[in-house]
Amino acid sequence: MATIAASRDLGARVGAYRLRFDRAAAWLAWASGLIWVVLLLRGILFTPWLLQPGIENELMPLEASLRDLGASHGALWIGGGLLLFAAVDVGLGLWLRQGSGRARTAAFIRAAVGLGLCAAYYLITRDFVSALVLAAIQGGIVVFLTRNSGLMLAYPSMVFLGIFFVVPLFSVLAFSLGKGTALGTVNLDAPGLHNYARLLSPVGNSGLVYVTIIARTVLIALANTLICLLIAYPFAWWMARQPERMRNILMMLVMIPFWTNLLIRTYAWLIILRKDGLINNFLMDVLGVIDKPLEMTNTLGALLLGLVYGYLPYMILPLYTTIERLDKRYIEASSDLYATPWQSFWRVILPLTMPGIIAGSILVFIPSVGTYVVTNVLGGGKIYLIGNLLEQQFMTSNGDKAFGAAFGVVLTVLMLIGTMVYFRMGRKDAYA
Amino acid sequence: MTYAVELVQVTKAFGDYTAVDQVSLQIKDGEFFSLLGPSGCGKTTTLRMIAGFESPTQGEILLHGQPVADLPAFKRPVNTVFQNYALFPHMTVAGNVAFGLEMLHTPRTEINQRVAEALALVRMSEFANRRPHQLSGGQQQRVALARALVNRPEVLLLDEPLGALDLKLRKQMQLELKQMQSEIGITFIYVTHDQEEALTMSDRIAVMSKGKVLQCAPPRELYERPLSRYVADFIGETNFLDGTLISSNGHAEVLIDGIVKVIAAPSSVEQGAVVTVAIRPEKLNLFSLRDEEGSLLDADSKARQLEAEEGCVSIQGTVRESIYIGTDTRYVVQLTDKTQVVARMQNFGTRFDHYLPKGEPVLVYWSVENARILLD
Amino acid sequence: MTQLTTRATTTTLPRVRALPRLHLGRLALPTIGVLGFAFLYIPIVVLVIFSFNSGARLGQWEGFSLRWYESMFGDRRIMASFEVSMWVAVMSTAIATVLGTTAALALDRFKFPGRVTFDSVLYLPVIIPDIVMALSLLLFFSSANMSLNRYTVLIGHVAFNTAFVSVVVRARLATLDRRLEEAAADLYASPFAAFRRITLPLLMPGIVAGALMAFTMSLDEFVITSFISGQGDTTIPVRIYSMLRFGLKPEVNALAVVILTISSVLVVISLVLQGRSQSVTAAS
Repeated sequence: MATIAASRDLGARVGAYRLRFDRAAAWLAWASGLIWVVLLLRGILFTPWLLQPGIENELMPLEASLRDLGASHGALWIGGGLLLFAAVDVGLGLWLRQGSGRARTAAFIRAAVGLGLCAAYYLITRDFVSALVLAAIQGGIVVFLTRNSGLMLAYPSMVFLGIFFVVPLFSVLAFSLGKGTALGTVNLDAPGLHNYARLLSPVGNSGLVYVTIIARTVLIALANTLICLLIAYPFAWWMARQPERMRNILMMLVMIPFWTNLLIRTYAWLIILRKDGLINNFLMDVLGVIDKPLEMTNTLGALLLGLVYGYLPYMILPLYTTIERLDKRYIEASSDLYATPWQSFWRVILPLTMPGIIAGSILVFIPSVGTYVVTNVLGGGKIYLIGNLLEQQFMTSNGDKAFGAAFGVVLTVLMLIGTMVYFRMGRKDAYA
Repeated sequence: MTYAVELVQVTKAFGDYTAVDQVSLQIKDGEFFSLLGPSGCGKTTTLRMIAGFESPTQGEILLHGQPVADLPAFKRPVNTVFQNYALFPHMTVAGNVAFGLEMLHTPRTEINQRVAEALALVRMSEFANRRPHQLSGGQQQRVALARALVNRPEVLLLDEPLGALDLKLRKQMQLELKQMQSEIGITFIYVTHDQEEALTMSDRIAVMSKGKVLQCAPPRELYERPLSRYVADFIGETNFLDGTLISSNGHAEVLIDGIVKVIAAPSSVEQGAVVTVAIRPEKLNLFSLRDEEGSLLDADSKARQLEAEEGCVSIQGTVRESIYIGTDTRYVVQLTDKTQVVARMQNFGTRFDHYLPKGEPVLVYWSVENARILLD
Repeated sequence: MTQLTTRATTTTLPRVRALPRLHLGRLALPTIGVLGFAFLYIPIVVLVIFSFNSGARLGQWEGFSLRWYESMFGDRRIMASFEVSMWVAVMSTAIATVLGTTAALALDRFKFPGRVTFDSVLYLPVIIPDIVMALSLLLFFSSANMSLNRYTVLIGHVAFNTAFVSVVVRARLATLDRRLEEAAADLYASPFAAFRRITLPLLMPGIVAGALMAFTMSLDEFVITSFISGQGDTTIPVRIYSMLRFGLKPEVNALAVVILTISSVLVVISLVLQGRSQSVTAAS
């Protein structure tokens, strides 16, 4: 039986395999070279006019900055630099494709220089988006040169989330040290902890207003979590006891509110609870029990109702999943060992379903701390929580963004501490 | 000569744990070679390194004399039959078998022809359009085999391919595999923890333990002449007697428990060494020390008689247990020094008068060449 | 010598599904079940019914009509935000599906520098309230001199959807037998070919389900969007919120029902897909 002919030359195949990453890097280098050429062409075609005053709108940020720097003959330097870069990149690409180790080193250096230039470009022009695109390409060259498949796969999402998720989160910390201006911007010239001091100090005669808001928010969120747990646990138990086909349908029925808009679902309660809503109409016009409409919205009750309604599915789903997976034999074993149903519940069932309780509580607690939709729609803004305060600082013209940022930091820290404590508590109780 | 597969001092470490420790093997073209050992002994890791799924921490792997260290799995001219077959669930049987050829850009007509041949070889032609989950375990196993063989690999690697099958089917597949291998002449490297399976099928077996190869030999040699206590114990059943070597001129003389002087088969062991004497249960014989009237015979004179007439060595003992298992009877005998040995006596006739009851005083005897001296 | 060669397979007994009764009284549990679903669905049903009300008063039924749907579809601003919603949902789903899937693959199948950090970043959106993410993006955009428009909304949606898709796809990847990829490599498939022919087809139901969920999330998202959307470019939920602020108009009912319907349909499709794919992998 014949073997595969190609297998004779194994060595050559190894080489070709290793090269593919360098080849990919070469393509990126060429892409980067192309960008330089485009910039150069644009410079050649437009710069003479651009350097004249009066065509402000047509200027690219770099060109505008250059003109502002008064570099009228700087165009020559820039043009030469771009040409040099394009040449270097094309050459580098060709060199890389030959699989030389030195080419790799050169390309690393070249990419580092490129990243430095992107930073310089941003500092001169403050043109964030272009600097970002250019830097991402330089970074891509580095990533390919590492020959790490995982890094290559993760690179786009890492860059995106790094810039648009992680950096903003940390920038909140920085902004919380600044001072809000009347224009709605933040002045970072004299960083300090004054926002936090303000947060902890009394306001006029009203006492510790901000601390009260935080405490009130946490209390309401805790109450909401507890109520959700008390309703969801027996509910999930009942769901888990249904026959398989039924369970799937019920699951879907819970999933629909889970995935649909909270604002709309909260709004639906308004139709029922308002002064001219369903219940009042029914009680007044149909039954005639009352002559004055009941005040049901804008109360703590309505707020809690809205919160429980909004976040109940978040509690049901993880609880249902753990209860459904709960092995019946554990309960049988515990009753075989003389435990009453009540003891079985406390000593066996509850610890075994702890992971679901933890997951559900976190899923309910976290968003209910930050909520402002429910408070505004059903609470009428009368019960003022952190979410309302944040909305006011960021969404209205007289808001103080720096102060809001400080509140955001406090909220995040509370949340992290809360989840950590909760996880630790749960781990003590939960099995393995 | 170049070997089909050669491992030179191959070591594989996962962090602190050394899975494979300085293993060197030479596997000849067309050989049915088995890696045998308990789970965790490094046999599967060795196989995965040959296949290219793991790369050795140290050492070299050669396929037909060429080093393949940097060659990824998909460039190696070897194919694997996976433990649980790893058939692609979203493809038909034919699609699974054709996959490798498609990846090699074989022309469509040739693919169709070779897939048909391979399926015919494993007698699965009529299942070509089924999905893997519609097949039984044995059928899936055949498809996995066809999927590997259709590529005409230089070496076929089999990772416990029969592990998921029931006993009867496994026996049948063992024979089929062995037959197929000798027909097509491809080198097989077969990983198993089942010593019987390895003995039945292999040309040579490497016994592994804790990442090392303890012995690499044909089945008969492995069984008859184990080099270490571990191998003797792992392959089949063995009785071990502890003793000290007191002379080794021609025949080795071993002192067991300071009482009996035993002569064992020659071995190159130094004098005074503490040794183990290994004897297979079927090589042990029992002689009842009670005559037909029930009176006791003189053990020493009988022992001398056995030594003179049959060249056998003997030790006195008492039957502790006798278990009838059809073809043989297993006797557990307690020797004078409290060691227990197992002897297997074939049940020749239907008469029960050979049966030795519990508590019977016996002489355990064996011929010198059937005992082996082991060092560890 | 007859050593039994049984492999140490799973020793646990098959799971028993039906749960025993908790002795809370025979009717207590079903009552909670029925009441629970009533609680979850009565407001939605009321909303749907009243969207067909012919009168303008909120809590009073005056007869069946489609007039609020008509006036909704005639409202240019609502239609504009509908267009923005769809654009953002489609674009963010497309981008986030690619980014999230590649991230999940990298985390599940490879080792690379920064892996652990990246892994925890992807789970951050779960423990950070959406309002914090919203204000952080708002601060970031304003400091980067980016004016708020549909592109900033898109960026925000891609961020949380990427994290979401990656978590969903990773869950699916974890159930995939890694030996299938090894088998493909053994059969001469390059990593890319193995991905295209084996991993991707088996992963596809998970990816599609994740994408549908991401689409729903994007369509329904309110808090982040309201912080980072520009004056003209608002999505439907933000539009509804501002309509609520300036007095209740019955068009809101109609609009809400349309959004609810779209979300529900997407959720059902996605759940059915997930269920089906689970049964396929379970059978293999």
